[in-house]
Amino acid sequence: MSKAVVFARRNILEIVRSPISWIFGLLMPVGIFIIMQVIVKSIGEEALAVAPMFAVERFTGGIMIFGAAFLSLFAALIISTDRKESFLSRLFASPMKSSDYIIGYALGVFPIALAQVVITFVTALCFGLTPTVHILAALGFSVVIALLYTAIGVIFGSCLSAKNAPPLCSVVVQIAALLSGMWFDLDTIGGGFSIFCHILPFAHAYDLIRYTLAGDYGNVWLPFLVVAAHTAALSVLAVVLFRYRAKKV
Amino acid sequence: MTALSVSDVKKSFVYRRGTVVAVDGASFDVNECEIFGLLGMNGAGKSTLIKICTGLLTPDGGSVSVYGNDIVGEREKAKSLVNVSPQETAVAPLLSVGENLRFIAEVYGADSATARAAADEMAEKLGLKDRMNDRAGKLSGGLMRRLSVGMALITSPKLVFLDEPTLGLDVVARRELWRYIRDIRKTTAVVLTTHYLEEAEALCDRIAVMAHGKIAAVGTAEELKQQSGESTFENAFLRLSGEGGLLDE
Repeated sequence: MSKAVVFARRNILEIVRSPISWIFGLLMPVGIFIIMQVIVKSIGEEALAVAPMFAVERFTGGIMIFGAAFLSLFAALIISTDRKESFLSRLFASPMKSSDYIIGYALGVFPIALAQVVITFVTALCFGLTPTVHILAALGFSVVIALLYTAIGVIFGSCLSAKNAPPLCSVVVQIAALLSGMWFDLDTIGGGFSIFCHILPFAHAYDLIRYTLAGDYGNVWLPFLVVAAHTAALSVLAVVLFRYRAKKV
Repeated sequence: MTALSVSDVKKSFVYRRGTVVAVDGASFDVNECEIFGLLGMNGAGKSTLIKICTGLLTPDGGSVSVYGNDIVGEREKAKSLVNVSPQETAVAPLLSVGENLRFIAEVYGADSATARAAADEMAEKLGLKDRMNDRAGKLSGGLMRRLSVGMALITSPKLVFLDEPTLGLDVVARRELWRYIRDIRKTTAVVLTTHYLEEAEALCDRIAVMAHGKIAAVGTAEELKQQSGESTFENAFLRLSGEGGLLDE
């Protein structure tokens, strides 16, 4: 078995066994989804006329982006704790290579990411999301989004202490949610704010899932390319920073 | 055969306030099947030297080789022969004792069955057999320290660095670990750092005293006493560390 897979298995166990993963990674996004849908259903159709982003077809994408943002927290937490507890020092003395660490950390968050997406879709289907093949396409695109947030987590985990990484990742989660357009339509605010939101990847990630679920593939490619470009750039930065930190143990 | 050869190693760190010379031309050899003590006051340069010897830091000058393999030029080969138990316990807290041991064995290339057998054997030797399924984070400080040492020894390294391995252990656990360290010397060279001078005297075949980044003296405990003109090892250590003023007061 490759060292990266051995390391990934260890990371999966650490993440899956942490109550934080279940509370923030699954219960919170699904809980918010259920609460919002119950409110919308109790108000009726007029609620969607005022706030169309809460329609199950759109809000599913929003919750996916919100939930995925917590992956940055999990990655940052495990890396910063490994640094703090000198677990990384032990591993740096082993024959593992830089690529083993990066692949191991990235694969480590995937089971919880997959569980998040699957549970979100199952919940959405219960609340009236139409079961179509587009769900499978959205599931595929969610891999890129998971990688985006994992890269952010590796950057935070490499640069910040175990004490500072979690609160700052929580800020990322809030920023990702606020600037994605899941809570309000960015175009209604417009101007510099909308431009700023579209420089960041979060609004594009939301659009990517939203358009995919709607089967609007003509509009999918731009957000996909923007998210993929951000993911690639942040992944390179994550590798550089992690390797830099490895030399500073 | 020489297990570890350290030749004129230098390492400095540049900070805003100036340059700190951590290791200043250190040279010594550790023989196969030898227990070699590396002693020094806090800040003497021991930890930096160990990080260089285990490939965590690159020296500014000089060379380190493990069984003839240069730690910089033949990093992977050299690292495969070495393991380390850091000063901090450095265990994965949410993994069980058995999972921690198996993880390290697999990182060094053991297959699953071999890792399992090695973990059982190591747990037996270190008195952790009945705690195999307990989470490492739930262990007492002493048991966690034993697990940490076990993780360093499970790979049957040809050379192992034990950085304060008995810190926090009670007298019984300490004596048991001493017995085990004496046992492993049949196949493994041991570099031991400790602040317990009686431990160094009892365990080490030869001892190097570090002071201000330099190797101030190398020899058996008796030789160091003769060299310093002191009758006890503690006084000899103080004298050789440049703290003889404390004895003359």
